[in-house]
Amino acid sequence: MARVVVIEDEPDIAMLVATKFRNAGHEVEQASDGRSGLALVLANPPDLVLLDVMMPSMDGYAVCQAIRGRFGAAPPPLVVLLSARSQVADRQRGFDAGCDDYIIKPFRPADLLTRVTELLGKRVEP
Amino acid sequence: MDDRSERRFSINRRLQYSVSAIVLLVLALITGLLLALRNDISGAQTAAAVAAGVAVFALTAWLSLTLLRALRQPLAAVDDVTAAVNRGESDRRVPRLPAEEFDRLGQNVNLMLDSLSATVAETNLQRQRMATVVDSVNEGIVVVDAAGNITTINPAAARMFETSIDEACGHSAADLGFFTEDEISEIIDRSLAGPVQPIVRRRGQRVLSAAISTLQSSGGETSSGSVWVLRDVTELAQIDEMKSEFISIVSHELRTPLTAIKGFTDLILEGEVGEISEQQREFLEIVQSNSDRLVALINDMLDISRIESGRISLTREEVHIADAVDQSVAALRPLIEEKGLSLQTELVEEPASIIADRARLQQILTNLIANACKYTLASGWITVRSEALDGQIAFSVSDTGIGIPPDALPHIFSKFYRVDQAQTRDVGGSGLGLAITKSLVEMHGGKIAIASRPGVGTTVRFTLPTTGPEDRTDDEAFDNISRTGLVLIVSGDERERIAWEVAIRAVPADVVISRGTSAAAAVGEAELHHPSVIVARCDAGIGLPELGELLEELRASPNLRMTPVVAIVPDISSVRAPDDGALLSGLATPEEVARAVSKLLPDSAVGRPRRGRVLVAEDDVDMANWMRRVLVRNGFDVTLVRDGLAAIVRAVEILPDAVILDVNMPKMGAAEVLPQLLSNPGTREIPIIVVSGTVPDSGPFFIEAGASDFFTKPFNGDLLVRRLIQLSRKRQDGQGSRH
Repeated sequence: MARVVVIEDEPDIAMLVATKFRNAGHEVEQASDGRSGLALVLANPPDLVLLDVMMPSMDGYAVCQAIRGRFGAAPPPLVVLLSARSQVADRQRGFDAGCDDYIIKPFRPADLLTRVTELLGKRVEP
Repeated sequence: MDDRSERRFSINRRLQYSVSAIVLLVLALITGLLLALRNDISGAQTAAAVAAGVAVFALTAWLSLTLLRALRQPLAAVDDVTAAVNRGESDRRVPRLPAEEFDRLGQNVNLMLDSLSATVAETNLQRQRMATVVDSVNEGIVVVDAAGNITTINPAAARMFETSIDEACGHSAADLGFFTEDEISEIIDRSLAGPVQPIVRRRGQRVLSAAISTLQSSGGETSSGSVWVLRDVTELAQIDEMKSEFISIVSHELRTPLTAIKGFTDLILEGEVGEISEQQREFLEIVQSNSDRLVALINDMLDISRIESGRISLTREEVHIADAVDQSVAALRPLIEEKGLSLQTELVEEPASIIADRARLQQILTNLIANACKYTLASGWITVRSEALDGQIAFSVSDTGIGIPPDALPHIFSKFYRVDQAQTRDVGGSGLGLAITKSLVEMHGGKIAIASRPGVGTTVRFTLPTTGPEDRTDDEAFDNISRTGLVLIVSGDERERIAWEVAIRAVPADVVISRGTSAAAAVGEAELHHPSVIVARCDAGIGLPELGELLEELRASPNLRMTPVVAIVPDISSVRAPDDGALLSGLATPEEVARAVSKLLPDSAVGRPRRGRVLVAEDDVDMANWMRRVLVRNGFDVTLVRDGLAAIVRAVEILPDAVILDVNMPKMGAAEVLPQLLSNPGTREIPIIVVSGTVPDSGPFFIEAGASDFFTKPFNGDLLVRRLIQLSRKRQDGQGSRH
């Protein structure tokens, strides 16, 4: 079971994601903005960060970059961006910021869980 | 001037009188002299003769003077007036003259002057009108002569360029800061050839649109300057930006609540919060399908707005046609099965792929197949076909559906158009699908058409150029995909890192430095940057990873296992060189390192000579596409086939320069294909490379059987390319010596 930090300013979406992951047996912590989310991640690195892109003050790209910069090449937490921005350029920006996956809203909670579990599996196995 | 009020005389008549009088006087004189000679001349007679002579002389002199005056005076008057008119006193006229001839001349001159001043007045009036128009329009107007200097600029243009008319006139048009000198002459040249699209540009805070026309010289072949008509489109540009921004915001604002609606519905439906009744399930599924419709509508609206504002751009790459069709069909499989429809595909084998935007091509196909599903009743048929035309591929999606009434066909590609039929009312959709589809096809440089008969069915057919829009070659398209030359440097010594970086950047290639020096750290950095080559100093003695350890870490990562490594090791003889890459001694200079790197970098496709045709027989689509991409990027032409039988047929047909055979293929494997090719006189000489994913030990068998080389998947693409070049060179040499 993995430790998951959900950084999302929309309380409904945060609750949706948290519920799905808790029900799947993961340990979930939540933050409602980029800064406090980043602080949470850095204080106690989780296995996975579920990160909203469009947030006030510090957006998901910036948080993702900060996480990557901080952990460097040491095994960092997986970062999965959740975004309503669906254009190729937006996705590219996400991957440039170093995310492991970029999931477009609206997503099915089950699909999100499947994709993330796959990523976590790859991380644990090798 | 009243003719009758003055007395006129005619010079002609006066001359006649004068000459007659002189002739009479001379006659009288001669008569007198003759009489005097016959008789004795008296003193009185002599005096009379002298007097007569004097009289003749006086009369002649008077006559000359009179004539002179009569000629000079009127000429001077005409001369005065014409000179005055030339000076600008346009209302001066020649006065009535005493001599009739000159008077007529004077009056004619006056008539000419009258009509001239009338014409000038008319022209002036028109010019004034034009000037008023030019000055009062909101459009900026600038007239530039052939030398590029401004001859006319109206107040609106002066305002746009923040100058004054006096300041601008006579100065170079380039000083306006809108077009450069070169552009001005280029624009004139181009506009001579035909109409030029208005040029939209930002100047300071404003956005200006300039329509340019050329002033042609009288011959019409050269330009004598240009006229710019400028519009301030700042507000329009702002509105356009706002529109896009608005749609983007709205779509985001809609997506977030939809995520919650769909997400929580999902959670309940999946039973995560307790059991639900059958009716609850049914109702929640209705919520679900309606939110899906909303999502589709939002996506369509975003698309159409981006298409209309020209903000959509295609990412061209090689797309395998069968894959694109398969994936579109797969996405619609539930709908097809739910309605009990049968779907069949008939696709061309060659060309197997097309240069297009993968996602957009799939969107086109999905839209058309989804339409076919929607309007086809249970147990109907849908057929997806492709056929190769000259430089194009035609796709068609046919159904045995309800069809479209003839009067609706002309509007079928219009935005928001829905056929109003009882049968179609319960079919969801935004009414944007076909409009988007048409735009996407046209953006690819293709055409789309529809044919339908009510009650029989509908066929939509579209064509796409195989190489994308004509202005791009496939090389360029590939060039955009991957022309990466990124090198990851792993070393513990700061000075060495800098020296390597400088040498590698000169290759040229981009460089990233690994922040950590452990094998895991290096691979982590590589995961982040996906470098084309990794350069690493490997020396366990000074706390750096061992080469074996680094390679092992790399091979464990699916993304990195193909990445070549240049390893700098303390002792070359003690380690095995990496399969992909190079081994250098600890004393290698930065230049040697850079040289090793440059050999491993992917070749750029531009300006590279064609290296011949390779027939690739591989049934794994991803693998085949990857090989094709690598080979095309390196200047080879590639023919793909997906089974062994096709490999033999195509090899005999096209006589390629090399053949790549996958070991396991449908119909015939490499073990059967190889001897066939080697026994055929036409294909006997062609080098054959066998690639295998599952039986690495079979290498010696295939080499024994006559293959030129054997690769075990996964293998480095650049290695394959180098081997092919080697083989083709060897073959050319062989042929050369035989001739």
